[in-house]
Amino acid sequence: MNSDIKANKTLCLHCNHLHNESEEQCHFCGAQISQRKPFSITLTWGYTIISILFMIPANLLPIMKITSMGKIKYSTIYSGIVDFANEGSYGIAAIIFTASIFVPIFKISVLLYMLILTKIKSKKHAIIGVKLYKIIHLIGKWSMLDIFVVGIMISLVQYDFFISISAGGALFAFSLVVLLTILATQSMDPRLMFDHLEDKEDY
Amino acid sequence: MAEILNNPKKRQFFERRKAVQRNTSCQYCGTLITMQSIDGEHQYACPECHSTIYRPGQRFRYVIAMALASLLLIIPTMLLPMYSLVIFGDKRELTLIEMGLYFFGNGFDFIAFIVLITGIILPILSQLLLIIMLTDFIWFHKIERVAPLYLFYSSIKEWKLIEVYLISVFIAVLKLESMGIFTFDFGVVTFTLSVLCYYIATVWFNPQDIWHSRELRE
Repeated sequence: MNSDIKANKTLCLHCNHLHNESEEQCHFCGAQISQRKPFSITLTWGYTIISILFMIPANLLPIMKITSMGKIKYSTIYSGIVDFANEGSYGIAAIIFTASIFVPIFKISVLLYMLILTKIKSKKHAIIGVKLYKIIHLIGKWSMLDIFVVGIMISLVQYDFFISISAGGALFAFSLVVLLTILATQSMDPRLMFDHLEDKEDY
Repeated sequence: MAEILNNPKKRQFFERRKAVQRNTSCQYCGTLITMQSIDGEHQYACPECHSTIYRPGQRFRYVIAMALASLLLIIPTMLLPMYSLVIFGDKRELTLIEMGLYFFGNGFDFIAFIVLITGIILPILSQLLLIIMLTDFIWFHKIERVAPLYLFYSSIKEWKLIEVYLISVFIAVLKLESMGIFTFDFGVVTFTLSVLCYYIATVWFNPQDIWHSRELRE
């Protein structure tokens, strides 16, 4: 496989031009360039581990506090999905489940899979890893859906005594999970899965 | 050599112009690639990981038109209410900015900041940048003026969440419907159209065409 490292070339990720290894700045668009994203593995591990830790309060703490005629009801991500399913809106329950539970777990799993592949070299799995990387790159931001929905509900439903909604701790934790997974996807360089592949005997 | 994917639609941008050859490498697997002729008729894919390397973008004037339409439609979206909710005779109306601003002063400044920046400010800024950058390029053809603007545009690419905001507006409706008398206002229509135009402008714009058109002109 003819890679850019073997040919001593650097790719600028902003404008897709090739440069020599020694150049530090792209002379087409002015971006700082390097052969691979700097500190890619360290940063990705860091962001992934912290987002796993924040998944715990995000799922256990309430995301919304609904006060209605003096009665207080705490709603977590799960209870929101269950309420929709009980009302018969299975479609919406499925959307919220996908955006708030499935997508973050899927993203973290793919990031861990790619990080392991940077150590254990395998071309077949690396190509699968690239396809999964492109998927999480695309769908990553949709986990913010639940946060925007809660934000809209909190802004609109403020009727003092009758009914009012306020934010819970899970909102902060969940938004951190989403932001950190987006940062992890950005810092991960999928080319690291393909580097030094030829050092293995059979790939 | 790159794989050539069939692209039967002829792109008018490259009519009656010379095709160029370009060397690059795949950003997903690092393979060195030669694109044989960038002529607006072919798409290229990496021979190792099969990711699309280059797909010709739309003419810049159409991208500018879409970005302009998106910006013009965001003005009534900001001013008109999105929807109104009546519970026990008390009516509340909400505009787009108010939704983002409500978090401030309630102890959730960080989330308010994120919602405002990613949902409203960055998308609007990116459309403005697109218009300024491409209009400047079409008139003056000076890469040096366009490059810093493009770099900033490329840096904020990951953080634009306006389409997520749009879908969340519709999902919030379904949660709010059961609470009281709910009505849509015209703000939702202009917001939907604005996000559609924004999305089309983003998909149509291929920044590599800036450098390809320069090579073609020289």
